[in-house]
Amino acid sequence: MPIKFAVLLIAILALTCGGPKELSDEERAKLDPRLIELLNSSSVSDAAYDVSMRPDGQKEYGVIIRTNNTDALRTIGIQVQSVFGDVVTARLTTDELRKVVALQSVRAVQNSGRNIPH
Amino acid sequence: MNNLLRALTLCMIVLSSVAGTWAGNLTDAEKDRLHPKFQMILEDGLLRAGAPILKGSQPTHDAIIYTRDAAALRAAGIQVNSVLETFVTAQISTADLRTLATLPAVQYVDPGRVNELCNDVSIAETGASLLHAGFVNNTPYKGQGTIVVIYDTGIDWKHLDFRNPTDTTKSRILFIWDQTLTATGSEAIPAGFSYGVEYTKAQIENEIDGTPAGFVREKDTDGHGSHVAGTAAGNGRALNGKYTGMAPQADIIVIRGGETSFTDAKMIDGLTYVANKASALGKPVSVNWSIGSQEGPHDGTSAYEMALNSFVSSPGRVVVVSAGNDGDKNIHTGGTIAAGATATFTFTVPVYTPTSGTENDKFFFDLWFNGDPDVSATVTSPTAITYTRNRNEFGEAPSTVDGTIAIWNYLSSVNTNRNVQLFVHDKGAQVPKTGTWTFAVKNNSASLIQYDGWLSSRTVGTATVTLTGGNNDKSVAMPATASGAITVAAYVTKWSWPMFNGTSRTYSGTDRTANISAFSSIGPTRDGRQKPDIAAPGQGIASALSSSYDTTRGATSILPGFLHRINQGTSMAAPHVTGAAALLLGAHPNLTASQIKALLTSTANTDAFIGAVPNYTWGSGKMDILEALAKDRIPSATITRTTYAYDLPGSSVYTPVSGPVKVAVRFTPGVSGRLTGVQFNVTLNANGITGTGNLLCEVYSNTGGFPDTKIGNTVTVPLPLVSRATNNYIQMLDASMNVTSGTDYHIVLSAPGAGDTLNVLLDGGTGSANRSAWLYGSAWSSITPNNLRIRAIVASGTGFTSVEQIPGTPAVYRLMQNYPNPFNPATTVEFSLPAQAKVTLAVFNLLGQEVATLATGDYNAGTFKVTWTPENVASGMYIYRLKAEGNGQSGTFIESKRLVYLK
Repeated sequence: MPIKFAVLLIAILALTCGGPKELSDEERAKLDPRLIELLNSSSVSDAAYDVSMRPDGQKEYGVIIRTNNTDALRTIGIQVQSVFGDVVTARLTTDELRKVVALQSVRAVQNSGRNIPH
Repeated sequence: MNNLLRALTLCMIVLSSVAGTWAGNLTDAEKDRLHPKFQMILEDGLLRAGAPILKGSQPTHDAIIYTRDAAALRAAGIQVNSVLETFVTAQISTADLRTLATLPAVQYVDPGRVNELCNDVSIAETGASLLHAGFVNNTPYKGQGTIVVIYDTGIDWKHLDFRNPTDTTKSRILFIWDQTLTATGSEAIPAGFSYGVEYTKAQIENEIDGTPAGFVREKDTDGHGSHVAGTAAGNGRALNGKYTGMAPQADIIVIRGGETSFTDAKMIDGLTYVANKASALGKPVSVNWSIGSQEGPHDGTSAYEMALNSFVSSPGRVVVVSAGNDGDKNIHTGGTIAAGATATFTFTVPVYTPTSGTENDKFFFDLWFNGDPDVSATVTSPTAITYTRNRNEFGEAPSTVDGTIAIWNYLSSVNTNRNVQLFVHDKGAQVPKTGTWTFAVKNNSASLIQYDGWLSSRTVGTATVTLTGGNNDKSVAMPATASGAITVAAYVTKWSWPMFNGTSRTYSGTDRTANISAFSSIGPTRDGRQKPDIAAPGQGIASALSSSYDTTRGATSILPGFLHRINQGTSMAAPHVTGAAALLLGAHPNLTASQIKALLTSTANTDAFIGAVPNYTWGSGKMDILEALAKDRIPSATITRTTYAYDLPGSSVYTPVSGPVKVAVRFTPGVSGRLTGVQFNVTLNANGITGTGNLLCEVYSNTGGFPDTKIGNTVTVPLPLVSRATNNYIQMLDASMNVTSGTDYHIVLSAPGAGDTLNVLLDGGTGSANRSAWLYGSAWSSITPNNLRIRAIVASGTGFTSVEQIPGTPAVYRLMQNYPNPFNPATTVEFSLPAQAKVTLAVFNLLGQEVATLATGDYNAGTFKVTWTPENVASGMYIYRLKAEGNGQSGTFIESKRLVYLK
């Protein structure tokens, strides 16, 4: 009985704390693996990402969004940096990334790759 | 019309009054003692003569004064530098010119022919230095009116090569966006973006003059960006034009994207920034990306490649991308896997000392399949740890004792191709294990599948992970695989160079000059498209040295003067093309990227190294911007430059040239054309060049295999601008030498000044057709058995508008009416000279301002024609004037005529 109660308590706590919603299969399919790892793991290294810090202390990540609807991005408060056809760049917090990937009009979200001088 | 005639009359009065002023000061005999350039300085002031303008000091001019009485010159207050039997050298002021003209002891005052010495032979190799000199259309093409954009490690904005050459308090850099900085205080983030700091031209100039100091924080500590910028757009101001870049009068915008790595998203943002600036300024832009990555699909579908394609879809925009330096790294593998079969890839991690910190000892294998087959992948570490990921699974292996192992097996939502990635790294405490790693990929589908894989990251400590059985195919990196990019391979133009400390360096191995750089990445793309597009000089390239560069890590690359250095890579090749595109856009601002690519690839040169084109090593061949731009201006134009090299590979002893000693190489052009340049090598030893006088380069006729009579003008180059230990280039347009196919000529070098010596290199061969000679004492004799490394370059072709001689022996001076007239787009002017004369043929507007020089220099007797295609000239009436000054009895001839240009 005490064990069942503990399990129930943990489940209630998890729900009431409002933790991040698990990605749907459709959303996962839009993300490249590094961004899934970013959203799913608490121990990712910054080295694989284009990270900077916002004035409020939140980390933001440089990403590339494939969409033809930048208005939808702006409607949810995303500051778009560049638009070339369906290629859009933005710098997102993980919360914003979840919102973006949930948009129907977004086809894919990619971590920003790295290049080196030749 | 009445107004036009009045203006014309006014113009003639202006021109006459100039001549009157001249006549009132010097007699004809005195005037005849001065070269036309010096006459123009006295007549018209400094601007037309192109004399140096020195802020806050008196302008001076190098001069060769023909006299046998140096004492008389000194007595007249002339500061004589070198004294030879028949002439002296001096630096003279404008006032000195009048003094010299009136001295009976002076026979003639000649400015010599100080040309743009392109010591970095790469600029001459591309043909750009001839364009700078106005070889095509009699118009100097230097990138005026365009913007060269460098997205790189930043720029040394203090470097003199990026400043206004006549007022070095002014910068040529319009904007710098440092994407790595966070704005503080009054610093501004560029409009429309949320990060980085933008500096304006005004702020850079304030920093240059120190008001305020310390505001511009951007620095190019890596030095890569400054070097790239110098090649694309440097003006050589730091060292008397010695290291002039491709588009020396283009404006510059720099985006500092990082120091050692650059993200796709920020590169895309860079394009947005450039598009905004180009639109606001109304100028065409040529963007350089000398960066890239081997991680990705290599099929042109990546985001930054799609953005690039979109960016260049508007006229007046081009992006040039380096192909990559993986042409000899064996990082690629490709093939097929039968249904149910397994392909195994093997990697060797060598013994190494790990780098401190995390995520810096790693290897990454990026495997792409055509379509979306069902595959599973299993990695086995040197200690037999295994980890498998099936279709659409990804994650990290539970054990990290051999390093952190991750496999991603997923469908790319962008190009709907399956991508399987293996990443072994030091995310935690354990680093990748030394030994053999295998990666087995099983085809679970019922059909044959095709793959390409790249070992895109491979550094552990200071060692390199290798892929067993790897090859160099498809090693062109991204974003160079973008269809809209002009993708550039690298070849060698210099194998050795002098160092700042008096020693010299050479690359190891067999000299590959003129051959492809071994590292230059090879095509095609994964989807089979042609890449690279073209090749440009990319090894042994001299360009700007950033003052923030850590010279202790690259001391051997630093050139004398400590303002430039040598670097190599397709990074160095790309800016040659970026600058070339700026030259095209300067002449034709609305060209599209695809038109520019077509012009460059259709005019590229081929040779024995290249073979059939296009191919996946060279693209369409070696870039020839001279012919490309000529074709853009005059579609029927063809220009072929031929180098006449009789020396053999290797090197041996050298021949010192000093005092009365001269050396010569006989050349026999196989085509008729214009002598445009001379290449020569100076020895490696520290005393290869001594003295501060001039090197004289002359052309002689041939008698019995030896030089006979000097023909054409003498071209002089200050010895301090000549480099030891490498090949040098002298532009010879001012020699005014048209050569005839099958006729023997001699290139003669001398350094007659007191204390001047030039040690010219001899080859290492013993060829039977010896063509080298030296003048020692009063007679020429053969140098045997070796040949001097002196080569003549001749340009031949049709349709371009240099002065051409046409048959006939005229009895009198004549200036013919231009034809057609009125005209658009081009017209031809002919003139005749009964004897050798110093000629200036120029076009003036009705205000008396010169708008074009069609011919200048010494011409032999004959009839000549020149075609003028106006550039940036309004329609209307113009005056063209011939001024021909013969020696002695033939006198001076001046005549003007009208022409009408219709737009």
